[in-house]
Amino acid sequence: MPDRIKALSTRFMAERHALMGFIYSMIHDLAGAEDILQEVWIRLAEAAERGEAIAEPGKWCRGVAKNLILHYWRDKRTTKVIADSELLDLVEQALNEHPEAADGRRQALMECIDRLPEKSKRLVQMKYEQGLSFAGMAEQLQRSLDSLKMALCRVRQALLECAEEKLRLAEPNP
Amino acid sequence: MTRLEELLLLWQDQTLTEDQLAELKRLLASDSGRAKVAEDLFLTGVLLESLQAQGASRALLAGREGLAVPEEACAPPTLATRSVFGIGAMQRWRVIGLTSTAAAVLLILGTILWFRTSPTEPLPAATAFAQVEQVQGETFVVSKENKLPVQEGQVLTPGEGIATQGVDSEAVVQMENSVRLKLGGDTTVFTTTETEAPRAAGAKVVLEQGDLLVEVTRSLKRKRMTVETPIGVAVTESEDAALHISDAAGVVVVRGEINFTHRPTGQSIRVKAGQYLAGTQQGELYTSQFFSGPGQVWTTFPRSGVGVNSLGYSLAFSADGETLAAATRASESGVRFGPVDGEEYPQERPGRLCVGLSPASMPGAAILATADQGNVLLYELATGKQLAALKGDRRSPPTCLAFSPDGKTLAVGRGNLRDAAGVVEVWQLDTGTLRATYRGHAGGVTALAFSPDSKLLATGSLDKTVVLWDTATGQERTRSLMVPALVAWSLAFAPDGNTLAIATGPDDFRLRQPGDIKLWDVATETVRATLRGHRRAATSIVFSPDGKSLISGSADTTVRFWDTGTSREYGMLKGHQAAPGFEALAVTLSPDGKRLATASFDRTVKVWKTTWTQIDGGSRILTAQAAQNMPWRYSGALLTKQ
Repeated sequence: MPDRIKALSTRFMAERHALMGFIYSMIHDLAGAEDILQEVWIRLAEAAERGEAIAEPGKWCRGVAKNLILHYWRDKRTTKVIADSELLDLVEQALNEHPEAADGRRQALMECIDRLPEKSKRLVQMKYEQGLSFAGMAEQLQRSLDSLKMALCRVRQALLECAEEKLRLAEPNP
Repeated sequence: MTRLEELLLLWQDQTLTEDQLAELKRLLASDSGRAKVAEDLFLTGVLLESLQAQGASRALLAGREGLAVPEEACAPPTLATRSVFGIGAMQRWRVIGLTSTAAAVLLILGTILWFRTSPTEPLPAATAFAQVEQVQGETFVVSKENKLPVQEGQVLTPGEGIATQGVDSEAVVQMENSVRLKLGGDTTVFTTTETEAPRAAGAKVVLEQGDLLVEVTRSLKRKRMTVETPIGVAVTESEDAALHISDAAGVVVVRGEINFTHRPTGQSIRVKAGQYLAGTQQGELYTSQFFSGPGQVWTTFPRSGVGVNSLGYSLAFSADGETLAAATRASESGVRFGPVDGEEYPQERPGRLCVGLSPASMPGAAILATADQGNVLLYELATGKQLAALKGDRRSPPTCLAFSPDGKTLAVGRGNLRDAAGVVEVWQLDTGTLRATYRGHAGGVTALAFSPDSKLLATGSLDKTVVLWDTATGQERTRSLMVPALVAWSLAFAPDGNTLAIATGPDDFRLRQPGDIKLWDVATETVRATLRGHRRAATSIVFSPDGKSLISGSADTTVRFWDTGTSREYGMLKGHQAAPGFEALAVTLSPDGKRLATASFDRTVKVWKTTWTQIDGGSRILTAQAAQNMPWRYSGALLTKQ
């Protein structure tokens, strides 16, 4: 593999999480999101092979992903309100302003996820793996919508705090 | 929970209204809002990745617990928390007093409820004692008299059991803080009050049916855990042990060591970590190596193509072993082909149902054959350019195809309709003309295999027969009815051409009828050996390059490795998220044996790197593990639990 593509691949790997989160949140379909992510990578590799100058690969990938998401919406003719192109632009702007940092945060989060209590893991699986709506989860778990929203929010909050703490502890002492 | 957090959750839930969408956009106009959404999306991405990474291991082992999720996180500001900022000291004490009183009342009520629902007599220390920790789907507490819905936290008294109902149901039961039971779908487990012999003193459960993971931690100390199953009794022999008993794989020891006593024969055998229990046709027990892992996802199809009575995936390696092709029954998917290793994404072209790649002996460029709308499409493998379409009857679509090893012909099996006769077409590749049509199967053709010298073509059918055709004359050489009457789902000739392996099974994968693999002697036209071990239909088989090993995939969700000399299974691979009885696991091996490809209900095609060892003059797979993951392989399929 040429060095240039290898370097892009490394960069893509390092920044793929926020991109995947972006795509998934925009289309709410895991298989579709995977396909789009893969397509973004293919186009990046093709562009690199053609010798195109890509100064900011992260931004470049988000731009491609945005176009693919628009295509996806058009093809699926989704009737549900998930987002519109204005929101798409705002979220793209957010990611451009706050790109995924290569500071061990992902690893810290992965470790924190691994330590989640079973109940919390179950919630995460139902929401993101099975793609259930809060209504669907509420029916399965016999719980109220609000309590589930709150519970998932708590899990996310706890994960972020846990990762912060891990990163803080990992920092060298002054 | 802030308003922005709430709106982001609603956004991901697809329940955002137009007004809420407008509000979300307003909030994202601020720097802090955009920073929050960037963090939120990053977290979502990592969660999605972690779910994939946990996939295979989750099926066997529940995750460790440790991270506390505080109840107060995300909660709207309460009276107590607000007091810190806005209420005076006296009011704070009043709030603390009120909450303390409320807590005390709740404690008293809880204690009363506890004594009303708990057994009045304290439980003897040695008896099984369990508490339901987690439930999902339809779950019940069962006893001889009753079957009542169970609640999380409920205590099981000795003699009571817990039952899950439905494939999506599951339950986790904690016993004496040292034994954890995880029940899969359609499982029934009883605790017991039976007095144990001193040697086996410890916890005990009786598994009536289903899928059970038992984890014993060190705190059980030298006591033993006994699990009675319909086929025998497993007793832990180490302080830290985990065993998985399932319909698909039988008894697998994940951690530690157990002693298993077979009920019908009284035989005992020790099973160590990484081993599973196997048995010969004569009832002799032995252990074999268990492989598991996430594998390398080569591609993920958008839809699963499997059903309960049809082969869902077709796989083929190129002659040089460097290209893999995969097709599925799912109508939305195309055929995919590309490098086995490396970072090039597979190409996709129209095509489904079945796929074949031309042999090395064929002159010219390598060809991929697949089916579409009743026709067979031929593509140039290197470029993906369509070369020809071999026209056929759309009402009798291709079900399987095979290139002859001499590279001159392509055989196409047709007719998957149960009430339609199956036909086999033989196409001349250099002219693109139909050379012959073999008629004689009363049901759709399910499998095809050419002998290595291309002189014989074996065909299997839903009519439960296997026919051997003479390719020179187009005449039937022999016809065998499968006994017992089972469908031949896959066929493979051994490299020396002397043996035809026939993978059999019922025509409905949901039936708990074992799928045998028959090794049929071509010269004597008799069954030389029967390989027994799969618990449901065997759906796919392939020989190792030297013919000493046979690899099979089954609707029981496992891949098994067989020694063709001894007819024993020496290994089992479980690497897909699967649904027993709802899939036809497909396997294929590269010509050099170094790569194994599998495809399953979970929509993924996975590639495993194999290493081999020489034993008793034959080669055996020693390991099967994932090759390096490709950079864009974000997630495997995320469907059902094992």
